[in-house]
Amino acid sequence: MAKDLYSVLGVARTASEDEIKKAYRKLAKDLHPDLRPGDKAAEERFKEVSAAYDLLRDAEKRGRYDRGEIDATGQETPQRNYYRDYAEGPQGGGGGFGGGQRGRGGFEGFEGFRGFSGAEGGQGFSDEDIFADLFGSRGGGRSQGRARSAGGRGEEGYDLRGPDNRYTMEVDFLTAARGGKTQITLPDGASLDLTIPEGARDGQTLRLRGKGGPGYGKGGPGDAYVTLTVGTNDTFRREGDDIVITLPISISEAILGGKVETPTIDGPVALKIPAGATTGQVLRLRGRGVLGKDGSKGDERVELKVVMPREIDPELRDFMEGWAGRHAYDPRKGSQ
Amino acid sequence: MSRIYSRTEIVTVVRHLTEDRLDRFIAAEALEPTHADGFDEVERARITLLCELSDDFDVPDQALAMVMSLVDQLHGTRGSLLRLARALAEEPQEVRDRIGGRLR
Repeated sequence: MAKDLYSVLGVARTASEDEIKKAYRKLAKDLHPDLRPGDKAAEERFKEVSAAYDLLRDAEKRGRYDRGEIDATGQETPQRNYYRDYAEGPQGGGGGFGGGQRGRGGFEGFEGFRGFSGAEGGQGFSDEDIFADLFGSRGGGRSQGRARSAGGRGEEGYDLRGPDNRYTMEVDFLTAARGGKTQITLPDGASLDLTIPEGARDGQTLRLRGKGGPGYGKGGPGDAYVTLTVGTNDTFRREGDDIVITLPISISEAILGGKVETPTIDGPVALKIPAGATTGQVLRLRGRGVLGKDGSKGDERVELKVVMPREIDPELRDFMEGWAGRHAYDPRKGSQ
Repeated sequence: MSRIYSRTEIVTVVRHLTEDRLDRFIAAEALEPTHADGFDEVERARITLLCELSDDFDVPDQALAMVMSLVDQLHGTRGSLLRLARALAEEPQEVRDRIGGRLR
């Protein structure tokens, strides 16, 4: 799974600056160590998210990234200290800033415990281990999620919702257009069944409720978010909800018209070519496009391309010589 | 933590910070400098967070002090809880089990 900066933020490659900022803000709200302290997994992901945002927010760097001049590697933000790293310390928090704020954050009643512990925590334990150990006597299993109701439930104890997991997956063009079922294999070897909705878009993120990490206590599991990257197809292109194809036709089909078998995403259909059709002419197959957000289907636009026979046989040449003499026309008239 | 950054230094080490902006943080009472000659590491981290709140979350200047006060309270409370947890972690198993039972 390649680390595509757009999918790290869960936005399309075509996202506007504003959309990128919005996506970042939404993620940062849940992941920023100062706004969501005590979640190791979130902190790791925040590093990734902020590195992606750092590059994509800069129009010039984004352009270079899009053109492949720079890649996502080497964009890791340097080791940084969060405000939390100081503010949780004995002199930090409410205490650190101005007399008026001193001590407001902590519960002074417990200050005595500082003398109690003496050492700075048990050796070899991370702070989260200590939290888990203290509150973990009832739940079984270590917490790695975020506290949705951090101890605030009283009677009910300490419940943690499981962490959300995020993945990126490539979907082939037709599966995205038609919808379908597929499987995603997770880094731990497990697999998830995934239903691709009809008309899925590049950059679209699917939410699988309850398929994230396991919860703790009475906390439910987190969600899995899968960002789709839609592949390309040799025959079909997509423009919004419309499917666009180029259909080669012979000169006789162009001159005389007739029914021609034409591919659509749901299989071939017979398309009526009008007599006198020409290259560049676009015919529309209504409702043969992709299911749109509004619930109606787009069209398939068929662009005709007249293709000459591979060899010009004597019969055709003779006919043309006679015909051109009597029916000359200038296709360039008015174009210069 | 002894390092002190002067005004000119802090503007170069914290991205997207300008001196004008620094003054606005102080005027908004979101930042109360504790040193006469500059800013320490704690303040540097706080200023970085202020820039993020301001740039990425569009928190208006008037609301910065309130948001920071909540963040301070959150970190302060976590700090105290952590010290409590550490203290309890050093108690005998029997004591921890009993307190665990009380918390249930």
